[in-house]
Amino acid sequence: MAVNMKITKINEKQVLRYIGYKNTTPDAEILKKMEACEKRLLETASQKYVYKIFDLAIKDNFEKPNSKLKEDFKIPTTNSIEISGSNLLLTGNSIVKHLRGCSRAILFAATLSASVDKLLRLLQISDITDAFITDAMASTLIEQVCDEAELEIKSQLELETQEQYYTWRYSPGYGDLPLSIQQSFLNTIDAQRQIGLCSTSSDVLTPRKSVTAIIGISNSPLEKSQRSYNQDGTNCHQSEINKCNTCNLRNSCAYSQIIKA
Amino acid sequence: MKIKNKLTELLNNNEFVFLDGAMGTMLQNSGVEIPQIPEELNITNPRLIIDIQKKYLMAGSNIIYSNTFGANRYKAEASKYPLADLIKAAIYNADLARQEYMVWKGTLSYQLPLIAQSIGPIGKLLEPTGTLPFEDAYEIFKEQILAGKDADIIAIETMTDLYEMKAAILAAKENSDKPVICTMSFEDNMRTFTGCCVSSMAITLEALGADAIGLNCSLGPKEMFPIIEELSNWTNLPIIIKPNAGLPDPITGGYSITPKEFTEYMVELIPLGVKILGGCCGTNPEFIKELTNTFKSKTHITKTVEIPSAICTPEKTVIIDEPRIIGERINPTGKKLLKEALKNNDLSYILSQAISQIKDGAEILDVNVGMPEIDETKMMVKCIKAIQGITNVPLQIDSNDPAVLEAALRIYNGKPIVNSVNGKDKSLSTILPLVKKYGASVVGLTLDEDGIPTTCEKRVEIADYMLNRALAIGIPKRDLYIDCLTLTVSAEQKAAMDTLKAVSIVKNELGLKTVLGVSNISFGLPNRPLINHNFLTMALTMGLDLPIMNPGNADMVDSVFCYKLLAAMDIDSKNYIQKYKDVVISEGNSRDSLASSGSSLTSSGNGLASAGNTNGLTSNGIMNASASAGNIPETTSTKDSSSDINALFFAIENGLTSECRRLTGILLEQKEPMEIINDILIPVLDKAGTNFESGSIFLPQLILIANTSQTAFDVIKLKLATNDMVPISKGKIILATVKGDIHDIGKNITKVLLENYGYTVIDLGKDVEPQLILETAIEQQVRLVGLSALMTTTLKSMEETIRLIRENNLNTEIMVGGAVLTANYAKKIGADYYVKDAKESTDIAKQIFK
Repeated sequence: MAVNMKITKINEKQVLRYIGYKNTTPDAEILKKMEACEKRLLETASQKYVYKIFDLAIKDNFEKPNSKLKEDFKIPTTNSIEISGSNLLLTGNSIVKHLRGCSRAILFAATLSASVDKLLRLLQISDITDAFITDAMASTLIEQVCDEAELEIKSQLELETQEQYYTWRYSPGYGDLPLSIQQSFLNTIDAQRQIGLCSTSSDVLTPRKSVTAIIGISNSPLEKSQRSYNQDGTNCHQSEINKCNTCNLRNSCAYSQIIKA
Repeated sequence: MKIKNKLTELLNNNEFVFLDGAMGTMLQNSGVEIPQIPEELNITNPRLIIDIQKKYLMAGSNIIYSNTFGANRYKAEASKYPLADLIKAAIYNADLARQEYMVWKGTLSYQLPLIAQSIGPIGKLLEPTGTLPFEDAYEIFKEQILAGKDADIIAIETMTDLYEMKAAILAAKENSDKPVICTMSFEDNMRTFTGCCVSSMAITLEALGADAIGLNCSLGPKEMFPIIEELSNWTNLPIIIKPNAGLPDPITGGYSITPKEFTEYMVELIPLGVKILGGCCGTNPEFIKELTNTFKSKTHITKTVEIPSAICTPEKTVIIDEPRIIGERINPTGKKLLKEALKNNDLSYILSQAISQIKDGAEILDVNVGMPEIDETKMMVKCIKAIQGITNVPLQIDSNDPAVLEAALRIYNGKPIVNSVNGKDKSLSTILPLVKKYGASVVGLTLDEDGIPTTCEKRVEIADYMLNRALAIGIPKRDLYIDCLTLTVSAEQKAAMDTLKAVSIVKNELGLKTVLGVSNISFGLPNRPLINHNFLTMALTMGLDLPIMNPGNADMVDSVFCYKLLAAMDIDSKNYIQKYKDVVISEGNSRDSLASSGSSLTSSGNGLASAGNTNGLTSNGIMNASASAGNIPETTSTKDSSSDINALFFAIENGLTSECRRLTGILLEQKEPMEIINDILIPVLDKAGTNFESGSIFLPQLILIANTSQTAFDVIKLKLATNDMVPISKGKIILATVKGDIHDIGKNITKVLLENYGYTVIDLGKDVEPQLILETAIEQQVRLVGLSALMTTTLKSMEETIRLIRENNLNTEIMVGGAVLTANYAKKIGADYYVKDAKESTDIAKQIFK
């Protein structure tokens, strides 16, 4: 179902990374602009998400886990996963690898809504500097909404069963999971009716500042490349590195986290 | 017409009308495997559908919806059945259900239930947030409506975008004569996902000729109460309510309330005047049965409300209950820069005019783009779409050409004003039908075949005649605004008072709203602003509702604020105090330091965005006493120009826009425009570019500097245009985000930088067809094309565009940029240059246009 959310502070460090300040503090002028941009964006954005939980129809498609082998050698014997009770088929080696060991998955979508698109269009005419900063802030904010939503969903699920393990959020377009499943993905969770989210004929999400993602659920612990937390359950930087590792642009991207790892 | 009467019969008696409940929920619970396109069941398993509909009829539904919610070109694209077959089968099934029900009922005299063709959202967002043009949406709905010709009613439902709803209503009205009932889905914040408010929905849909309006889906009957309550204050049409069975459970997806609870909440809605009732997601025949049984003993309450004069956009309704300023600046008459912009298709200039007028206090904008050299219809449509894409202020569509008016009325989102009709029969018989069909308000000019009357009485007489003509074709009185016409007082001195007297009579005796172009009064006389603002005050006192004026004229805006205060419209003087609290009155009793409008054009107070308060200016452009604009080196025009040059350097580097504008003005008295560009603007940008590359400043600062430098450019452009000098251009460059891609901020930053170096940028926007890029390059003889793409999937379009340009052997070089590109890839797809950021694009341009 659709849930509204109200994040009230945008991660400044992340915004600075996106607008090109690496480890430098911007001057007072830019900081002042950032403050105004943040306020306006938070007033404008209507943060919401929707999710549904599905069983994964993976028959005996994997080689038997063999602890002696390194994870890379556990190659799946299929390259697609069915989302039970829907018409969605997740294809590609990367998603199969990502969801191995998972019996269920959370299909999830979040958006800041069309009002933010309008704000960005307005700012691109009235003040391109503000537009640039606000765009970066909106990208940051939607990730924060996803992080928060993920926590909420997990806590809902944990009321039901203890001891579950989750993969990090994997989106259409990552690795070799095609972007072209976007529409079908949205239909599966009724995203248009629930949060007003659609995709264009070239599979771009509209409203623009939106995310679709899959989180695998497993009853047993997951591999390092699949999860976003440490063995002891504390959060770590791993999911960022994992995301960058699956990215086709990992060698040329200015924002890559791999170097830092 | 027969069917209209059948529905009218249902709507006109004192009883309630019952719709059905959910189809989707019933299908899901049937145990049958539901295909990706549920409408295929109409052909593959008709019995399933017929039985569900029969159950609803047996439960007491008077109207059943066909199983066609998603039967449109997009959603049913992958079906092996033709779209028309899916729709026809659905209506055929509904008819069978109806016949079987009649047999079951056993009495032929019983009123035949009606079949409504259900039409849901297309599934793609319309422009500007999505990429589906309004015109395409219309065609998609038209196709559905033609296929559904056997239905009795058209039910457009679950819409969240008023624009999409409008496309569907137009398609229904133009391709059938069936009644159209319309429901939208709201969130509990009283808005739809796209920001449409209840009042805007009500006045737009009623004006477009919907037969009944209301809500369906997304909420339960309890949550819908406040929204229906608001709706009932804005319409006298029959109100529809088709709620979900409460709210869904997050994990199971099951709905929360029982048929009994559902019905109890529905009973509470009776006093609000609801007339047509049914259920949406989670409901089943049990709900409808409970509902019809309970409502048997209830009587429908007809609630009649007085609807005010109002116009709207989806997000904002402007009620004409006090003076509202109509901004007149988007009109090329006498405006060289606007003419230039229109000729060059430069929408950003027009948009910045819209934004600054709103910031200055306009609540409605007049849009007139009529000039000889351009295609007025095309430009009008383009401008309205673009303005509506960034603001939420209602528009007044202004043209002499009925074809232009019609094209604009079609694509306007909300309810606009048409400017104008007059008392001539030809005008009345051409314009009023358009106003009626597209649901607008209209300005009526008090002139007729005999010209502008000299007497007040005759003007009132014409106003009265126009009113009767409007009423006769069904335009309500509240939608006619009379313009008693301002004549130039230097030519006709007595006419001013005649005009004012007529305003008063039209307002008070005819009971119509009034509108007046104010500035014309002072033509040919010295100190025009003085006359204008005094005449405005007099007119307001006589009952003027809608002054058409330049909101950049602070004195006139002040008059309006002051009038509202004195006329006790501005309750507790709130708006007045808000606007003037920082005004400093100097000893000479005149207001100090009225800086020209601030650097930020961000509109304020319209719920879109608050004013970005840069460099110490308050949002209304008045210098704030406490905030200093930084250490601006002191300059006056008496000093030598080198200190002005330094000061301008400083102002640009520090983002001081109004200072930058002022100093450029001073320097233009002493230097040639080209000198200023070459000796100041470009060196500042070069320095910033070098600093950016070396990492001593960052991208936001570079953009800020470019943005500030642009204000200097604007001053130069204005000077050139005013003196009829040739505009500056160091060369033409096309910029475009390629087909399929809608990421355009990088491209727009590049545009600002290039323009500041003196290049003419032809911005083709985003999602641009390769063919258009090619044609523009040929037509305008463009030597440099910049293409942007942000997705790996759209690099194909980039490659395709380059191939097309190469095939045609143009003398054009191509630079490409965007996050997914690398220098190698750029080379591979045949680009001449890869630019890693906006700054590099200026280096390339310099190289090419040596």
